[in-house]
Amino acid sequence: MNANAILEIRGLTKEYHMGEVVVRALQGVDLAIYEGEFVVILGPSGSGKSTILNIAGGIDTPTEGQILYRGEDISGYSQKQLTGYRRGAVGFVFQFYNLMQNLTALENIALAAELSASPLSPAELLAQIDMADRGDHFPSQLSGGQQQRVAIARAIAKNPDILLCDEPTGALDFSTGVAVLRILRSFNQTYRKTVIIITHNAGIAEMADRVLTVRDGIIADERINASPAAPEEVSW
Amino acid sequence: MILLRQAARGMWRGKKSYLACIVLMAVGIMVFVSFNLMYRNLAAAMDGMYLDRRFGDAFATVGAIPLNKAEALGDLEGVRQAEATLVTDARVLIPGSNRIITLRTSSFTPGEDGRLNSFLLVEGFEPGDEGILVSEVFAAAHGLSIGDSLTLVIEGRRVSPVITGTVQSPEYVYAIPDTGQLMPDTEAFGFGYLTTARLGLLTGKTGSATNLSFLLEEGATFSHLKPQLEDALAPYGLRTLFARDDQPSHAMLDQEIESIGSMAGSLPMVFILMAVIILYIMLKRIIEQERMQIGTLKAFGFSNAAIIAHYLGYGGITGLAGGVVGVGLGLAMTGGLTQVYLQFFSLPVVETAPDPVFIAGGMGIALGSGLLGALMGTRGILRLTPSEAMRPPAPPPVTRDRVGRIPLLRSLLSSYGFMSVRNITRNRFRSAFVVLGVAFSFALTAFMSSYGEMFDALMLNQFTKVELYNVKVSLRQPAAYTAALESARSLEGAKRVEGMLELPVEVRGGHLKKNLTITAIQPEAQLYKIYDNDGDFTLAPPAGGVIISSSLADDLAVGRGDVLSMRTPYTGDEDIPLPVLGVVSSNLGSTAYIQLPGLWELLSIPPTVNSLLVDAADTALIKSALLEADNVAAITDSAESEALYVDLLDSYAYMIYMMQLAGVAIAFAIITNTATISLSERKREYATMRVLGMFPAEIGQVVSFEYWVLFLVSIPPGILFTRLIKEAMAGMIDNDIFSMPVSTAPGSYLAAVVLCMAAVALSNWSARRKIAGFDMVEVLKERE
Repeated sequence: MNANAILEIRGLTKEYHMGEVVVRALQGVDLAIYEGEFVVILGPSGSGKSTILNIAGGIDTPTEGQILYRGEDISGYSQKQLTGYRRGAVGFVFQFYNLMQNLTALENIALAAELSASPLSPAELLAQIDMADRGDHFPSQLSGGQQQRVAIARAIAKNPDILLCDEPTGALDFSTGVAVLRILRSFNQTYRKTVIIITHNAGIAEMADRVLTVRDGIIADERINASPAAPEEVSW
Repeated sequence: MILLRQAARGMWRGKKSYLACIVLMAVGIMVFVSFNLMYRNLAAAMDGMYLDRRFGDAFATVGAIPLNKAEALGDLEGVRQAEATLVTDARVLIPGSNRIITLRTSSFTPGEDGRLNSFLLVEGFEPGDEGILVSEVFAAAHGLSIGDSLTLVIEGRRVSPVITGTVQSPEYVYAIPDTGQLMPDTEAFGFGYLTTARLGLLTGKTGSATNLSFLLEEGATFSHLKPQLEDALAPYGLRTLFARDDQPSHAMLDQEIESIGSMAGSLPMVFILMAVIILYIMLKRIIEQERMQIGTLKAFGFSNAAIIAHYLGYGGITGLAGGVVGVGLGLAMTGGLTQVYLQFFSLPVVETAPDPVFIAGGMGIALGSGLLGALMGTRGILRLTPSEAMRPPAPPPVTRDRVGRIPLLRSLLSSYGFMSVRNITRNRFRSAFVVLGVAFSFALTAFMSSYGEMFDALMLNQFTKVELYNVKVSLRQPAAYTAALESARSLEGAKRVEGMLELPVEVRGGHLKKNLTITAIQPEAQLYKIYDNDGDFTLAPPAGGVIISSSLADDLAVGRGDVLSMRTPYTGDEDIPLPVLGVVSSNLGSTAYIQLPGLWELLSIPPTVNSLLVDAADTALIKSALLEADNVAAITDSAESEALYVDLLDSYAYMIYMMQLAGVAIAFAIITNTATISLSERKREYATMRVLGMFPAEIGQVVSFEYWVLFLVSIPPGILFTRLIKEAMAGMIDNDIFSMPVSTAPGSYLAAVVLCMAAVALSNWSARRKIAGFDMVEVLKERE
């Protein structure tokens, strides 16, 4: 176990059985993520980066290998234990926001806060994402960027150790994307929480502390940014 | 062809929902086919028997009329044929039985053709003077066969004619001695035939008749003929005169057939309507899900008609499947059910050939309903342009959040609660459908649960609140009050004896009139009470007027304080004023109560009774002592009557359970189907909630809360529907004999609540399992 590693993945493989065909999405991935790190996992479509994120987040299970969260192997967890893990340890941000359509912005954030033993204040989070005046708006009354900001606030509200973001800017225009990245960086710095972003957008990698490149189900490259760029400085 | 294959695969994927639709459709069509065919078969059996047996249009009983005078009645204007018979109630002595068994024995002339109300010889042959014919059902109840001799007591004389055959009669299709008895007791009452010569000798009424039947000319009506007959029969002691509609057996048979006919029209529609709505909701959802695909097909050049035809296939296949299953089950049930009815009613067995009209009709309704449901759901396709269809739909506009603005809800509801409540308010049509469906199921289960309670109100109250005697002795001829009571008191085992006079009367209120039996009891009567069903209290019989039943008050449009006028066989054409001193809520049709001395005084007759009520320490002793008494027409043992009632109710228990199960199944099918559709719409949301770290049980709370709220909302309309069903039923079966109570006891509502809650809980459990089974990765990968 790496000292300071909040999440460590060892020999991770994942096979999908599609009829008679076996697809090996991951072929022995080893990596460690450290507390407070801002990591970008880069890779083209189908490289296996989403699979790593899903397994690390406890919404999918490995075929082989270990996933150690704070030294505890979660790979053999039951569904109930995995739900507990998701509830306490990780927050998810999706490409298409996935907000509850029948809840207002504030209620969406409160929904997640209700799950946590030590939540952050939904109202304060709403103010932090500059949407204090939109709290009673439903998702359908918000723009894509606003919805993604609410989705990030929702993920943060549980006060998780790790924020897992799956193409968080994928459905947004450039300036809105930058605004979203700013919020993610702010969460990372303000609360000293780990943020992992998966993306195929190499531009975003410039703001990471560390960049992992996935190709054909393995970590093909790892690079440390000596001086990560500010969100405003990245471009794509 | 390829589209058809796709439709088949689509249906296979949603097979459970389609199956629920098919089941509802099939139940509707099954009821439609079986009830219509049964209605048709029974009506045909009744009409056929009436025609074959020349069943009379009007009936009269008199003290005695010479046969030649009776024959002359055939010459009255409007009368096609008059028939005179001698009828007497013979006591049957069955070795080892102390039951009072009555055989209503009529005269017949062997070999005579063209008689009215002629019997149908089921087995055996017509007897000579030494033989007797008995009803098929009565013979079966006592294990009697042709060749057995039957011991009868007629006018105190004991005779033992040999049974030469068994018969059915149009007069006794439903064999009850009079309208005072609601259920046939095949052991205690039957009918038979002796030759005119033999019966005349035994009764001492040779050359006379007591019962008259009339077949009317085409176009003639009973009401026109009635005054003439009253005049003609008055000299011979006219006792009763009524049309076929009031003939006890016909009244019950006709009512049953009509109620089957009404149910054949209304009941199937409820099931079919629900199937149509579920199809509509499902198809609407499918169109939303396959929006992109529809856009692609349109872009390829498929016409609107071709695409709509494709989706209509879903409804068409559902309708056809429901139709085939429903028609099949309906046909399978019809034969059996018809035979059960025919046997219950002692009607000749008819061949039940399936009528192609109802088969085609059933299939047509099923197919048409399936297509209609699908068409309603697919109309949206017409509005979609290909480019628009290939984009995801814009989220529904949110105008105003009324729910969120209600302060009480804001403080009460969690985020889960808000999701549930907004799911309800934003899917109003679907929520309304669930509410109506559950309300219908609630009404069905409450109605069936209250079946026993209705019977209790009708019958059991009669034994526990009204008729408190053990034995009722009905006299053949009215007897002097004091002498009759004294002789009854002298019977061994009699603890208390009270007299009663039951008198057939014609009562008028303004231009309305009614024939009924007025019941006179002792002022301090303990063995017969005037009981108010609604208020659960008893009233003392009045002296200078009558207390009337609520249904009589309704029929004559009178109330307390009004004065009726009355005619009786004792007083002929004289109108006797009859003040109404009270109205009592009763389910026993049209009745009126008075004190014995009050009635004697009103009619200016000496103290007379025609029934004796006995509180007996030992009923068997009383019955044995009266077995051969001359002036005893019948003995009613209330314990036996009650047992008969309990047996009848028990025989309904299976049907009640089945209908309750059907109610729960309908609620379950509706809730599960709509929940399945909701789940497919909200799959992504629920998967997201699982990713957020919610347990399936917590997400299940969102679904559960929604359906519990809808369930609560459905209770008031459920109570209303129960009332409406009861009123409809009461409307169908209300008659002079009894009326159906429309109120429902809290216990029945509670049973409905529990059963519907079970359906909701089962559906919620099923939804929770589905949520637990979601593959989060797969669901989140899908784009709507």
